[in-house]
Amino acid sequence: MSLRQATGSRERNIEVLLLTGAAAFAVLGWYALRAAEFALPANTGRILTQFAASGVIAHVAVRVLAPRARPEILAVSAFLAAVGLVFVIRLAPDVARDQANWVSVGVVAFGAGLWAGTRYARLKRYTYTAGVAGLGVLLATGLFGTTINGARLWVEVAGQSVQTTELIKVFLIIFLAGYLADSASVLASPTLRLGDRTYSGAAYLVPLAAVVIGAVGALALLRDLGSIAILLLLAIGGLYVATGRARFVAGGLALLATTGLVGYLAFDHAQVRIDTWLDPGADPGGAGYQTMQATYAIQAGGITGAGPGLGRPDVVPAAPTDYVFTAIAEELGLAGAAGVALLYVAFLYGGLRVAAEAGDTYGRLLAASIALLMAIQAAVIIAGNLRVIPTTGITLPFVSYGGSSLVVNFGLAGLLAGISHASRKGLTDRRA
Amino acid sequence: MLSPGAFERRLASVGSFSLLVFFVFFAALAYWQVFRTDLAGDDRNPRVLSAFYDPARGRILDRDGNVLAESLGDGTRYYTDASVAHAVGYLDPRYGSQGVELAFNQELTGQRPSGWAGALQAEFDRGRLEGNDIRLTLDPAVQAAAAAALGSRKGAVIALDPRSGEVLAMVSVPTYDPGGLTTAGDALFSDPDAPLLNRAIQGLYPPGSTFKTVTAAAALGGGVITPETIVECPGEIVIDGFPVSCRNVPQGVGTYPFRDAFTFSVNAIFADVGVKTGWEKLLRTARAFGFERQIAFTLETAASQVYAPGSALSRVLLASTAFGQGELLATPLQMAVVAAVIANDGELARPHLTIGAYRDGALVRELEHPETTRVIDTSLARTLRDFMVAVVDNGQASGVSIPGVSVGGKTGTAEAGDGTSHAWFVAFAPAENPRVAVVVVVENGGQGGVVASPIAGAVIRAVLAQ
Repeated sequence: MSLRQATGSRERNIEVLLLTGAAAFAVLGWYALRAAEFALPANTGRILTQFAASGVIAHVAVRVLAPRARPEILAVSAFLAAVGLVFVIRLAPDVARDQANWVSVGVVAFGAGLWAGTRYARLKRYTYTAGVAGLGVLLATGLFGTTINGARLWVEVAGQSVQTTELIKVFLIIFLAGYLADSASVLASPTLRLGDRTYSGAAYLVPLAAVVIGAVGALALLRDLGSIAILLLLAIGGLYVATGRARFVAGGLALLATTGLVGYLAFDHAQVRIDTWLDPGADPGGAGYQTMQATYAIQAGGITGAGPGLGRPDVVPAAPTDYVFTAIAEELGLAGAAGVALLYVAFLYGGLRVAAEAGDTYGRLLAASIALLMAIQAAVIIAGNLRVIPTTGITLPFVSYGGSSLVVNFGLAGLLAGISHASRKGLTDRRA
Repeated sequence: MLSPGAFERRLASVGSFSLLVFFVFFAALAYWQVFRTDLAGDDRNPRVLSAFYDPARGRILDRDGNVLAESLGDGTRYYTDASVAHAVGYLDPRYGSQGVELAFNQELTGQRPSGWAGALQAEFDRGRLEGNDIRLTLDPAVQAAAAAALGSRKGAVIALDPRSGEVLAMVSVPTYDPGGLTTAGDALFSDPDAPLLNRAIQGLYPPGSTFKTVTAAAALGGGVITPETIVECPGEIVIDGFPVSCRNVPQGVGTYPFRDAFTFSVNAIFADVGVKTGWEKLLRTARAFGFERQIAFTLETAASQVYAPGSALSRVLLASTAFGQGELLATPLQMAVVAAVIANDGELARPHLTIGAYRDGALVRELEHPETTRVIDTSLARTLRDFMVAVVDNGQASGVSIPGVSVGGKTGTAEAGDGTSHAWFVAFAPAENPRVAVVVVVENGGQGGVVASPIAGAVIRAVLAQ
């Protein structure tokens, strides 16, 4: 790749333009918090500088490693991370520094993802390794994990609490894409003809069913309801884009409903969540407190929001993590919250375009799975915040405070951008 | 290998579905943020309280501008005078709120006008809110005199200007420290003496003989009797087997005009006159004065009653009601309204507690628009005024006469039901051009003319000294 190629890339110039949006949001957020006489952490300037530097490095990494990648992947991720940084500064000023550091680590993961994405075909050989590794990590979490907020999702690694369910998403994506690429054509046709005999393709569902049911069971024991929902929805979405068969969607939704019902009947934890969702006022000071406070906070936002630093989203428990969307709804209002939701739609569209442009089945399914994962995760937690569905303790991708989530999501975004580069480079080469 | 066309169609379906989900979220946001405005005032919403602890919350001032309540730099609410606690009130996360702090919370926090236009304007103008100060009608000298005169005796004093309806003093004992609710709240709530109750407007006491003003208004206004009608009391008067004593008549007097029966507060004469007046006229007059409903006031008031709900309106009950016992219950505010109407030639200027909302010492707006209504005829009011002046002139109330000033008054010694009596005194001064109407109740205090009237005298002197 020549220097002219790297600097003259049209995609990268658009990316620079779009990245200024993220920078502008961070700076505006900073000024707005200052204007609100919010007690900013002492090192806010340094935090924002570090964030900007991370953005520049990520951009340079794309220029070098994947110059033809679609520009919106990094731009949207960075914009969401800017929203996240401003709200972590506002909601948890003491740990804002950590969030900036995690963004920097996330950029390293993004670079690694880029590198892997540009040669994504090699990932396919790890399909079943990833499936087994995912289950192994789950098992290890169950055995050695620490319990935080009622769910056992963290493992101590080198003095850092790592949320292993975030890590598992990477394994799951690699497994799902590889498995679907192998079996999509079989699953897509209702029967399999071999000589003069026909077989049902259903047998090909067994590996997927084994991994999914194993993971759901393990997650249920770890009490991670949010991850179960994401896992099942992702499996349904993946099966749909790979096969287009409504029967799988219906079967998956039936499995989801059954899981929900079993969870409600078998786990107090799940029962409380659903009861609280239906009637938080029944126990306003206890189980319903978080939901009630979130409702008040969202209401207080109105159309244009209270303004950064001027609302009271901090009274909602877990505001920087699970309820960050509520904080956005209070301080940026309907306009800001709908805007953030639209950013996830934009990320999904970008990812789906990468999938459409990919040159082979595996690349298409890998890209589509990553796009689906981000969109599903965002939708599940936003819907929980807005009381469209019962609340689940998961992070809002790129926005919530938390290192594991940021690093993994940036890594997956890098993978997506890498696939995009590989596909579009191929397209150009073929045209030439 | 996937068929590219079919695959792209599925991606398009996923995209369409995601837009559908987005619209659901948009609708949910709109539902909460645009339509559920009721949540903003929910008492479990901490924003209501944090507005209270905003250092920019407005102050509460007396009529001279002295600070009664203000917020310190850290948002703590500081109250200067426990004697105005019931008027100023409090706002507490656990114990709710009362008084002006509650009634004008919006004005004090500086919230913007409601309604669609106001809400829309607020969307685009979300600067820091500055509250307005609330200036009360309370007069510091009169308030201090009332509090000092009542002292630590349980009861209430309320004084108002009959011409304007402005409340000059409002004291309720026992009182409390509105700033100390966080620590003392439980004790205050469980205290049998009910220190949080504003006795001046919510305390219900049998009014005793002070109610004879209302009976006299009904009888005179209804043409049943005139001031000069000669009445006679032969030791006791029996009504349907219920004997009423002629006690209080001066020695050696057999027959006398009705006006003297008022002066000396003869129960039997009033029982007889009440029965002749009848329930209908008595109730109409009492209701005109404000009985049987909450009197419109700045703060929440208790409704005074003529008879208990569901009671049979018998002649015996009518007789005892006419001289102020029966099932009568009245707030000090109610009797102050009676005195003010008589003093103000039969017209009631609606009692109120605020002058207006102020910012930097300048009036922003008036908060109340008290109207004046006619309750009784001017001539009847003047007759009753003379009746009440005669009470004081004849020495029925000690400690209230002031040289050179004509004071009207009526004592009350109401049976409390436990063998003791509540001491009442209802007064106004100066009679020819009244500047103050005052009501004093001392719970289980004894004789109204002995215990309550000196307190009223102190309040009247404080008003007239200005």
